[in-house]
Amino acid sequence: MMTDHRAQLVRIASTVFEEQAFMFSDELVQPGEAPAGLLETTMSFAGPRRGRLMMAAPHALALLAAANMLGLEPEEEPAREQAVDALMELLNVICGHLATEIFGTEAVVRMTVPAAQAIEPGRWGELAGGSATARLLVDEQPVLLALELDGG
Amino acid sequence: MMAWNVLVADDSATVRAVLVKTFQMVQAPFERVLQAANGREALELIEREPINLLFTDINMPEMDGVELIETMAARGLLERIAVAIVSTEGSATRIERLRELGVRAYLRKPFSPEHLGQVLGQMMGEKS
Repeated sequence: MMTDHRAQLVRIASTVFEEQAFMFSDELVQPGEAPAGLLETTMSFAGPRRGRLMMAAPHALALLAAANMLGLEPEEEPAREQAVDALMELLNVICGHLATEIFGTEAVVRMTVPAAQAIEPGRWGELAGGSATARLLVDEQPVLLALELDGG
Repeated sequence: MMAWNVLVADDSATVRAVLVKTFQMVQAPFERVLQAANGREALELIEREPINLLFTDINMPEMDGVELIETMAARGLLERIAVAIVSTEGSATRIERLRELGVRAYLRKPFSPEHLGQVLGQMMGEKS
């Protein structure tokens, strides 16, 4: 039987958004329409099992995260320049903590560096409708997180 | 009085900026703060500049933090440079291996300014 990691994902992501970017999360029951300016960040890992973690969010959230992390206003240039980088770093930290929870502290898990790309509303809809997708509302912005573990 | 030169190695420009800002917040007495986006860039700077302290991520492109520390250990650089890991790494096995190589401190992301201040105090105290 496939393990459901959604509750873990929501808890870890909420903590990371709060502690690293000073952003607060709620559960997102209905993802609704795809917001404008969508980004998807992904990274892979290999430990006792291989897998991938994906996070989709609007660019507006990435901008807010960068501004908060850097102690700037979202309009300021460094925040705009580092918005995507900030989102990738948040995924990196979420993935690290998730890997420790799933595989334990004795396991050695190799992670790839995160990548990001703009996505179309169709991809958002696909992720939002996934049975393994965790959904959050972070500072009023929707965030989707999906974990794929090879072998079920 | 010792002039402290610190190197921050992380592929995230945001994390590097946050670390630099946190050094200022905790009033770290650094003469220079240099930055590298991966282990290879860090190694080049280490060989060229009089670095005393290194804060490095593990998960980086080109040369990761583990390879960087292993190379530094093989070249005897860990006697001159105090190294702290700043990473999302949660593997006690890997952290223990890096400590055996000579890493002095480990800071797990996300970190607080207070925790970074404590680590800095500890590392600078040991080096003085």
